[in-house]
Amino acid sequence: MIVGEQKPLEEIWSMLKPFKRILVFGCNTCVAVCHTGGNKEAEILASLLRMKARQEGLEMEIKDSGIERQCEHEFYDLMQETLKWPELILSTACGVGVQFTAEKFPDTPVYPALNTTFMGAVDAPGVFSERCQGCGQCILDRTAGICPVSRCAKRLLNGPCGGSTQGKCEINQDTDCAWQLIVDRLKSLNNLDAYETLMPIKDWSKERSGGPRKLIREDLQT
Amino acid sequence: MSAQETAAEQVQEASVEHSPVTTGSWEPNIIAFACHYCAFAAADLAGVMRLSYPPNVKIIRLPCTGRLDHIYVLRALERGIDGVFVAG
Amino acid sequence: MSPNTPSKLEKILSQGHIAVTSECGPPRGSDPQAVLQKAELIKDHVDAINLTDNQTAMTRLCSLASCAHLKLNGYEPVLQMVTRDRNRIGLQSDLLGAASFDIHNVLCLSGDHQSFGDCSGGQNVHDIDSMQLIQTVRHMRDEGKFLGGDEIKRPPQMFVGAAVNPFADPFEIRVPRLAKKIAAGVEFVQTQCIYNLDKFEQWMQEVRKRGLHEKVYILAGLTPMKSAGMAKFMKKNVPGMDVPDEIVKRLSDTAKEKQAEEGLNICVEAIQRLKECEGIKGFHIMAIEWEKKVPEIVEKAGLYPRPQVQE
Repeated sequence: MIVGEQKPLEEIWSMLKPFKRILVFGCNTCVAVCHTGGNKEAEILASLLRMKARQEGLEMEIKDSGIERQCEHEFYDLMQETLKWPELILSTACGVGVQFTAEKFPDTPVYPALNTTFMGAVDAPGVFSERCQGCGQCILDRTAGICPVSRCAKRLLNGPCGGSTQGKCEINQDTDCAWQLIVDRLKSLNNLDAYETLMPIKDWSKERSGGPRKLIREDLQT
Repeated sequence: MSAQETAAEQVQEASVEHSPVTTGSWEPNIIAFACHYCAFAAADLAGVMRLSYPPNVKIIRLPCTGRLDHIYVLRALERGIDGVFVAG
Repeated sequence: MSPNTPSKLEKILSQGHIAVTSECGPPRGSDPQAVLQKAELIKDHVDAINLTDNQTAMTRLCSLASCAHLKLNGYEPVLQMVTRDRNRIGLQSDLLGAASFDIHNVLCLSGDHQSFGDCSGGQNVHDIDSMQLIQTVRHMRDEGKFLGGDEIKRPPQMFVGAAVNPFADPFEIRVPRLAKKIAAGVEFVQTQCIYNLDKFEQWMQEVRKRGLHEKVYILAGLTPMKSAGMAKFMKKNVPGMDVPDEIVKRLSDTAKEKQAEEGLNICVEAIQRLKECEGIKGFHIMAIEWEKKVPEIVEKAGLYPRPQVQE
């Protein structure tokens, strides 16, 4: 799912100061899994902000609400009145949700409470790590199920580089070297010979470089 | 979610009492979340044994402190409670 | 192997001589004298000089310009190209830039991560990786075409090299990795600096088993130790570096003022030993900021004078 981290409270507070009616608006899908932007976290954030407002002696009405997902129209249906009330919507959704909400309420500023970071998995409770960068041309069949685009700091397709040390990346000893992982997996698949196959130059036009992407399914349109 | 609402409601309804100014020194208003089987039972037993504890501590019973939600603590603090005690 | 390019380095190697290369780090400024002075110190003792490319991700005078200055002053440069800073358009363009100065040697590298350098907030590019860069150079040279397919007017005639590190992890793919680079089209390799001669010779044995030593010119990399402190630092702090305890001990047991000399002796002894190692076709002496010692090393190792070849 999409992972994001809540911005520091001071940063959020500095965005809110000019407003009097603020709705902290949660998203209960991806960012609820990483416990940073779900409806519950929105409720908590609203409470903290109310206390901050009182400490600073500012008159502010801060309420909270939330929906299942801030990236699909239908979930907003029951929220039309709620979302008309605030001067500012502080969305705790990922960057997608913030923008989608802003598109639906163009007369109200919608600010992000999160720094959206990556597409990842839950390794363990409280531990989330990056797995995919949406490059648009998946090569996981050739890299033993481990993605060098998202997990190698240099996104080498024919790695590792000379900086790989004891299975860790040169940039950080807590970061696994993706290519060490690939070699280990190839070994356990009895396929180490596949290592010598040269991976061709990648077409990056399918990822961000090629411009914002869109998928249209003709067969699913109404 | 009724248990959560009940507990939260209790916090909402608890009027914020200001401690009687008798000695001229300030006493904090504390809410204690006590779990039914351990801490609440202990508080009960203290009552039975006629042991007293200060009147500025109010107890809210939870089935277990595992039921404690962030929002109970935050709402208590928003209402002006000076400190939250969790026992279980 | 008969030479494919006008490269002086390639000629020396193809004629069966032991080649000697060294390297210079360009300055953190725009004065070409910094590079020319270093080159002047070593010019008669080496066959070609590598110019590093924003090494350790510190912004410096670019390798291309440094190579151009050297070439215009009669030296034989080796253009180092990292894939970290430029996309395939920039890389092909720079290769043409180098070729326009008749620079005939290129070393294809990934490059240290930008977090090590002075612009850690910058993006890295890695549009293509070092292996794909090897393929690209060979494609431009041998097919005379850009990656996009169009013809190149006056294609670059580059002798293509890469770096190898027999001491890096994972160990089991260090020989397959050399095989992969050869399959990509590399013609010469310079190794990471060697201190653990036993382990290096083991690697060479595996290399020879697969016949790879006959498909690529292997130049053994060496860096003389200046002090016991340097040895300890490199042992502990540099990834992919194997410094045996005996080396550290040998230097520590030497009086401080004699340690530099002992470091040079260790370097010369390594060259003497590796001259006997089948498959080693030359030496790459990296004495960064100690370039003035390169002539001494080359002479003591019996590699002076350098062979003359017709350009």
